[in-house]
Amino acid sequence: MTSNRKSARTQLDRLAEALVDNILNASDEEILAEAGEDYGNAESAAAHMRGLIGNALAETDKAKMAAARAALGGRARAPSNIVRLPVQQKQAIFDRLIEGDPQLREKLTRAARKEDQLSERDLDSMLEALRELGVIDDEGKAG
Amino acid sequence: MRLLQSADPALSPAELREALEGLSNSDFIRLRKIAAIYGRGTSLQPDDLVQEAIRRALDGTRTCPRGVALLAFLRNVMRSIVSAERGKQKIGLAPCSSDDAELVPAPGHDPEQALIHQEEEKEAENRLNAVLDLFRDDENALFVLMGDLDGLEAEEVRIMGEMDKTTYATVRRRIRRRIEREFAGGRNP
Repeated sequence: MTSNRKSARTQLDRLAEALVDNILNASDEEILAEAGEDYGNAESAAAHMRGLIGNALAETDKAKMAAARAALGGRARAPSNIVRLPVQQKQAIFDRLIEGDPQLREKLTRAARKEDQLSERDLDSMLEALRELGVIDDEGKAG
Repeated sequence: MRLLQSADPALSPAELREALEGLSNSDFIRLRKIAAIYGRGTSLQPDDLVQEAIRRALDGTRTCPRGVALLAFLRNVMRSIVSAERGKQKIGLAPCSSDDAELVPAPGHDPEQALIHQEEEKEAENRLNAVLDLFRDDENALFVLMGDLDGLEAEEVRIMGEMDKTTYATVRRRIRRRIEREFAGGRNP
């Protein structure tokens, strides 16, 4: 019965295409009715497929988040030059900033106003933030 | 910004996501059916095939051309996934006649691989015969099927078979439903 003119694989592929065409051209009502026959419940069958796609979307989101975190983490780990300065120099930069700019002084945190209580780590944090804002450059000079 | 997006030949990831989330219940069922048909004869389960196609669309491996229906695009992706799966053991073959009636291993290829391919072809032939056997008592269905196998246009087959459009559509659906029920869920014939 099998045609010998083409390989069986080719014929099966052609049949598959014809079947898929028929599926795509079938009405929504037909498709849902068939799902009811095949799975007992068209809604739950559709929900199952919807769940698969939801999983794929969630996996994609996770992958993007992981990539973003990796990029951010890489950037955060790179220390700027300003935090490598000697602590006295960093203190001097800070003092100059808050004395020379009353508005900046007001904007700094409560811990900054009590600068004598700042740890070096706190100082680095604020100088780094000011550097990123462009208020100072990598060497603590006004930006 | 809108002008830039509409000039883009492919859907953006956000547009693709929106399109996926907007699929109807019947479209979800269609995807499953399509995957079951394409995956038949492979180790790819329908759910896995659908998920892999979606994943490739979302990660940009495949892009959906603007103006192409999402299901048509996903169909193409699934087809190519299956083709690649089958191609893992495929070797180059040279036709020995213009009819492509027989295929022989191209010079320089491994005879063992040629034997594997011949075995695969034999399996395909068995599957094809199993399908045709389903309709041995259904003259119209066999006629339409043979037209499919020979690569004839649907309208050509309908006219040759002296079927009106309604009869042809009924026969076409009957063929599909019989094959789906017999070989549902990716189970091999």
